[in-house]
Parts: sequence; C-alpha cells; structure tokens
Amino acid sequence: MTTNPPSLFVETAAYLEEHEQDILFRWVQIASRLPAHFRRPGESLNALIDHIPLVLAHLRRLIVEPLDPAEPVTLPQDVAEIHAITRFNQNISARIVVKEYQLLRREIWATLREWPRAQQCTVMDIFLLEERLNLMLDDIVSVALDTYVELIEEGGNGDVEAADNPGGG
Amino acid sequence: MAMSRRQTILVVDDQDVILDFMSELLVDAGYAVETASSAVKALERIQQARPDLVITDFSMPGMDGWQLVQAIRALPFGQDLPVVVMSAGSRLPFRSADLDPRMAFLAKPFGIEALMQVVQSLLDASAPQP
Repeated sequence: MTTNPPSLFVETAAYLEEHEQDILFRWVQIASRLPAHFRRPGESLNALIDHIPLVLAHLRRLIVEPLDPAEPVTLPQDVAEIHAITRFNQNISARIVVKEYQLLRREIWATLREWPRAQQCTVMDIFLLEERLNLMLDDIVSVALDTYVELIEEGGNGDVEAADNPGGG
Repeated sequence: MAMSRRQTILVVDDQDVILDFMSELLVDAGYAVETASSAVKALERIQQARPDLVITDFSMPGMDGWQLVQAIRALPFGQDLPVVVMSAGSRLPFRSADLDPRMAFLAKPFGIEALMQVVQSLLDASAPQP
C-alpha cells in the first residue's frame, strides 16, 4: 500500500528547487578546484556543471514519490549514467565523479541547514529526510561507479584508469 | 530625468567557470560586470574601467589576491575602492588587522545571498554622502 510523502518532503523539494542556483553556485566554487577540473583552465561553466541540475531535479522528484514499502524508489539511472559517460569521455576519473556527488550532498545539506523550517523539524523528521536524500545520492553514486566499470571493461578509455591514480607510476 | 549609472563590478579569478557564474549572478542583480583572469590584468582593467567595486579570488598564480589589494591601494584612486576577497576555507588568509573598512572577506563556498549582501553593504558605505 502506498502512502503520500510527508508534507515535509514536499516542502523540502520546493525549497531545494527555490535554492537550486545557490546550491549550484556553492558547488561550482569547490568542484572547479577539484584536480581534474582545475587542470582544465578553458573549461566552460556548462561543461563543469554538466548534468548536475538534472540530478537535482531527479532528487526533488524522488523526494516526493509516494512511499511504498514494497517498491523501492526509482533510481535516477539515466541521469547518473549520462553524467558518468560524459565525465568518462572527458578523461575524468570515477574518483572525481564520486567527489562531485560528495560535494553536492554537502551543499544540499548546507542549504537545508539554513532553512528556517528545518529548525522546527523533529529528530524523526530529520532522520526520515536524511535517509531518503542520502539513499538517493548513494544510488546515484553507485550507478556512476557501475557505469565506469562497464565502460572500462568495454575497453573504452584507458586514460581514465590512469587519471584515477595521477600520482602513481 | 537622468538615468543613474549602473555600478560596475570587476571580478578577478583565474578560473573561467567562476568568472562566468559570478558575472551571470551580478548582471542579473543589475550590475555592470568586468572580468579579469589575473591580478595583473585586473590592475589594467581597474585603470581603464574604474569599477565601483572589485571581487577577487585570494589564490591565483603570480600575484595573489592580497598583493592585488595592496597594488590597488597604491593607485591614486585606489584607497577608497571597495574590495571583496574570496578564499577557500573559513579562515582569513591574511591578518584580520589588515582588513580595512573598504574590504570584506568571503569564505568559499558562499551563497548568492551572502555575496549580494557584502557587495551592497560595501557599495552603500562607499557611496558619496548627500
């Protein structure tokens, strides 16, 4: 039996949408300093941000999906996969992609911490929200890593494996 | 009625993506924006464009943001030019005593609202008194 998501989830999705540009702005400031991006001085803002706005849109949609204990929440397979393929083709390592998502998670939570509504949440509210958001992000990271493994096994881009260990021999 | 001049902000950063994003935000907020990818280019732009405020990254190859501030202060019209210094990490990359009233510090990553507040307060403080 499905149940509607708590109103807090709906409000969270709306708040994240309202603050999407802020999340991206914070994310860009740090992500652009990641070694793979920092070594690409001519990189455009669009190339850096890539599919991150779509990832955020997916997250918002998933937050408000009805709760059904029998059915896992749909994975944002396509967006995570496309972002991974794009980064792979840019010779950017899986490690950097994981770091990008780690930064995104940090900036999402930094934004939510500044939300006055969050001050009124109970511990259980926060627990449920955290569980849902973090599970979604973990799923995205897992899809990205699966995609990298598949691409490497297909013999796609050997440079990416080397880029995973830039200091190594 | 004469239209008031849009205030001009010079953004200095060695990363194009930061210049692009900051320019977009500041233009949307109603400012005219100039950009420079190094401190040396910034000094040229400052003398040509006479911006109302400068936003500079601290860590840049060659002359860093702090050296740029000192070079700006040495210019004939640079004493009163408001400067915002951005730096990764929450700690000031220089002595807090070096922050003058025409300077502000933003620790990366900062939000849009924090940026706009700092910019507006420095511009208000530097506006000629009636």
